[in-house]
Amino acid sequence: MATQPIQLQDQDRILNDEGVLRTGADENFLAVSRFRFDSGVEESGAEQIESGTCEVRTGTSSVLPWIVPTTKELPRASFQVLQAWVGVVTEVADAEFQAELHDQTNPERSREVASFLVEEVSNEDHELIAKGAVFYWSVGYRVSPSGQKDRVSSIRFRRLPAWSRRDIEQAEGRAEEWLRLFAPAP
Amino acid sequence: MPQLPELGPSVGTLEVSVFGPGIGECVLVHIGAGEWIVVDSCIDRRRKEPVAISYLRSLGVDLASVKLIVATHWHDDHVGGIAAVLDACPRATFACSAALMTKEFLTAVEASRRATTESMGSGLGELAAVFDILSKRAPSGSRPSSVGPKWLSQDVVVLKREAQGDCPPVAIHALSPSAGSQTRALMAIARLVGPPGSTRRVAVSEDPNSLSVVLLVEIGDRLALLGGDLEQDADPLTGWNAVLTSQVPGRARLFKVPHHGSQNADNPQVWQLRLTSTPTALVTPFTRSGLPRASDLRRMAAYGADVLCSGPSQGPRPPRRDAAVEKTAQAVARDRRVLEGALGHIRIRWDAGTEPTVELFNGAYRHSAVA
Repeated sequence: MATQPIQLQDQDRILNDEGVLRTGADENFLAVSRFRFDSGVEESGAEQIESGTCEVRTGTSSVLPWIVPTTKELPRASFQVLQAWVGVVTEVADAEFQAELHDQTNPERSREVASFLVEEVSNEDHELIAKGAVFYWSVGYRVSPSGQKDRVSSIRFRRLPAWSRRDIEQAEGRAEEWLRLFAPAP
Repeated sequence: MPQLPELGPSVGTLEVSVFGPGIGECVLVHIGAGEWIVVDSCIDRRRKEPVAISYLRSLGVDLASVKLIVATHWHDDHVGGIAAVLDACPRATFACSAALMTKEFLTAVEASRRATTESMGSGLGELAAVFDILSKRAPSGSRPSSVGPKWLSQDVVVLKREAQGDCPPVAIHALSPSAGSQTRALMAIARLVGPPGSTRRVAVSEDPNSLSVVLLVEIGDRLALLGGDLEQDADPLTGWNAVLTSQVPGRARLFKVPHHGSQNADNPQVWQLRLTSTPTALVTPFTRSGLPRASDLRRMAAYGADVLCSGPSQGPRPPRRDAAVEKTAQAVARDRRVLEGALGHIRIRWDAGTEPTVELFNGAYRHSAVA
């Protein structure tokens, strides 16, 4: 076990080689899972979230002045995917959207179409709901570190990179070549 | 399941075969003398290839006898696999709407290659593959006119052939897009690729069908009007209103109904002025939108048409998955449907001086039989 202690100095955000540590407005903690808190408090209320981080809701920072990096595995939540689709939004109405679904679990299956309520999508993704937007839809079991098993549906929209000026200029260059080649004969 | 027919049409027979929905439609026309044209394309999932290829091969047709391949517009339900069809047909001329011959559209086609990392098409990617093939067929940068693309607009002659033996003369004209339709399409095309800094998405047109090609196929006195996806609006210079101003004469007996029979593609004057009094209406479903609706079929029948549809308007229910998946999926997603049902086939064979013969395969049906 690595035992180099890291002292908590900045209550807002601490970056170091081992990962990210952050305190929230209420002085609760978010920490990457390879940290554990000295005194074993991490066992109480620790919850794994998707990105591999570990949310620890304990007391204030004054209770936990030291953090010890460790290679010891903490109890992790897991997500067992039973079925996954990639969707493309084809229509958007006020409170719902229609999408075409491509089966990622069994790609040989035919495409499907379905309607979703916008409220099924995380609030932070609402701004991404638009015609042509791509999202992942997964259905599976989430098992908490304590072993509790929940069947869940997760819709996450892709944050595709924005068009760059270079992308568009390259496409325009090719378009001009095609225009020259494909122009009607005089 | 009925097997695909094995006997090809006779030398002088006009055949119009309509396939759908393989997420879309494909129309094959035998123009006599063993020559064929392909209008739009969809995939035969059973054979994992474009239905145009699988059907023509089932008839023993040499794909070199395909003279013309037309993409009426760029939507994925009309161009699925069309690049593979072009690749397999070495002597075919490729033709598409003149509305696509703009820097904005070709930029969108090229940009589609890098729009997303997913292998989900918008139709633009299929056209990118088409243009790549055409580029390779243009030696040293010079393009033989027989290669294409031939840019189609109202009243353009698409193909002409003199009478040959038992085959009467053939003329194929484009009746759309009009100049007005092309202008309208330009505005939508300009929005396909956002400005720098905008989010990449799969291209979805906001103004879908004003640029669609419509073809009038004449073999002697037998005429077929292939309506593509052209829609109707109040503007006299666009859509079907503009088609009615075409200088190309003739009333068609066979009508590939536009836009899957939807109300917004219907112009009563087309039935009065461009079709015979007892036309045969050929309809393909669009399962994404549940077209044609029962009211659409009734409306066409009321015009006096014999209404044939290549399949049901709704796709089947999705296959049942793991019970836990089904329970959750049904709670989250409503109206889940499979897009691709069985690929139905309507076949019309029509010899000079006779009535057209109708054959229905693989789920295609006659409206009056189920009304």
